[in-house]
Amino acid sequence: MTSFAVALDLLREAAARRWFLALGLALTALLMLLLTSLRLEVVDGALAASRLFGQPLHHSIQAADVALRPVFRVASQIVFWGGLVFGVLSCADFGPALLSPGRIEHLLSLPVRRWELLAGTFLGVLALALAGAVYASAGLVLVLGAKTGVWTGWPVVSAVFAAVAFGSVYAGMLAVTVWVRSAALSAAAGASLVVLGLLATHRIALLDLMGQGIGRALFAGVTAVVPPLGKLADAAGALASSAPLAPGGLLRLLAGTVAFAAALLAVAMWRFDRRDF
Amino acid sequence: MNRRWLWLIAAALLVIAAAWLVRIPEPRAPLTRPEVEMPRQLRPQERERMLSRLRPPAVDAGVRRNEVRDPMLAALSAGGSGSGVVLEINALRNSPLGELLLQCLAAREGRGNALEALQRMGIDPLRDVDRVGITEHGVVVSGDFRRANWEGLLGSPTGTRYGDQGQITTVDPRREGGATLVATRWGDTLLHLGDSVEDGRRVLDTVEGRVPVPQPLLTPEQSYGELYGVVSGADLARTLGGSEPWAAALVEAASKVELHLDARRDVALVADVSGDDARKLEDLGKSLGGALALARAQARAGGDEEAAELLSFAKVSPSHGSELSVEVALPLEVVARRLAFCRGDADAGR
Repeated sequence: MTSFAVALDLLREAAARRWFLALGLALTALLMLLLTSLRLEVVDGALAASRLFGQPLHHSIQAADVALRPVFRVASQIVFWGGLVFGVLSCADFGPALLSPGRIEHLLSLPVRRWELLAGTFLGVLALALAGAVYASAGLVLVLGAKTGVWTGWPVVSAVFAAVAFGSVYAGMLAVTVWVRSAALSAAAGASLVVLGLLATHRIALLDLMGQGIGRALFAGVTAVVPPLGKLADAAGALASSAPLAPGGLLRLLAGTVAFAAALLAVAMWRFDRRDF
Repeated sequence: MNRRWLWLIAAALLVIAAAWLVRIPEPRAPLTRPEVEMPRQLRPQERERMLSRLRPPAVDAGVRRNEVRDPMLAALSAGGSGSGVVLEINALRNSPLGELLLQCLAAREGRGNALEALQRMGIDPLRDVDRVGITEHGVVVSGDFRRANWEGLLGSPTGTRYGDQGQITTVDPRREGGATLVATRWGDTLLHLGDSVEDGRRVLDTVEGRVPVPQPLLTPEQSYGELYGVVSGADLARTLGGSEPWAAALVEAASKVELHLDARRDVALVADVSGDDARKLEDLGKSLGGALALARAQARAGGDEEAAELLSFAKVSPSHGSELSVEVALPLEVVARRLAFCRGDADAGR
């Protein structure tokens, strides 16, 4: 429960920041723009015509849910990668702020265990990421659903994937912060993990291109552990667009990502436990 | 052990678990277009086939010297029909759909005997027939008829000679009734079955180049797919009537429909609809799109996920001026189930 109290405290802090206010306003404005400017004509379940800002959009006439598949897929990719980039930039400061001189001493003087502080911070950031991703996806589903009658929950589920992926990146950012209290370094760690996640996606192809040696072994070792974010993004996109997925593969990918995040959090807690303030 | 080290041990175990878990099998490839290639143009082997069929006209009166023509397509165009469909029997019989149709023919009472009767007369429809074309002015069959027993087939080994390689035979009606049949042969490769000698002469004049091909019904470049053809608006109205809203809209909007069907595995159909009224074509596009979406929803409701998934590839490309294009794909299994009625299967039509 203490962790949740810390998480709530972080959410209050986030609400006061302009980054998140701007994100909320931008998403709302975008959804309102779609709601008011997009006209979709559905005939017997087929998307027959579309107009954006009064201009006709030329496309094939298809079953409305089929026509919306690429829309949901693209939206899922934007939420996934956009969410990762925005999250890395906007959340890099939460860890350093927690450890700032004066505040950390005050927090440690309270009846709160050290691991609860870190877990609370992580949960708070995860809740932020989840709220942003679900708000964007659910908003899109509601707007398009109201206009076409196609109601699907999968884009919202895929938004949860984006939040889980960001959780694994943020766990790394938090782990770096407990070593060096720097927002810039935290952001750099996040960016590095995103790049490593992309490299891990194409691990086999890249290993084939590399010659034998320490560099290759190091690359193989690191990318064997880092979650392949590209695969996770593809899975999220496939899910959002109702495309078939390997049975069980998705759950394993999610579980692996969660395990990676938990491992980094455990390292952060080990370091946090040993550190003097 | 110091509790702090437990975090490290947990981290190590979790890293191992993460490494094992994220090595997932590749996702199953979704059903994509390559499974069903829409017939949009001549495939390389079809181009070769088309080029091999072109012949110079036997005489050059009124014909440009460099002009070549496909005798089959020229014969189909001879009557000036607005509609005609060609079945590539040779290609079709080697396809799964062809096998299904043959099973159909063999299972139906009497039809199997008809095939055998033709074989007894020297024409093996499965080997000697290349194409069958159908227009309102008759049926044109192309192939290799060197072994044909014309006397058995037409009642006379020879007919009235006409032109360079033509023979016209009038076959009297059978005792039980029917119309007089006029069989026009061009060498040993082309047979036209019509109902007037005039039609036969017109076919031979066109094939041998004594007259220029009137407005071609189908050009050689249009001879792709296992079935292709053109249907005029008037014939559409006669055939479809207005039983369904989409059929009524089609009859009203279309002046011509060009069809191409690929049946190498699953069945892919492309229909290009031409019309004079852009507004009506637009309405037709919406009606057809709705009908296809409805069919897909029905397939899904009926638990036929594969058919539903393939029908999700169905699309109507809206009119760009005076044309509209419809693409539909159906899995072979669905076609087989639809043909089950003629094969005598217990689950016919399900």
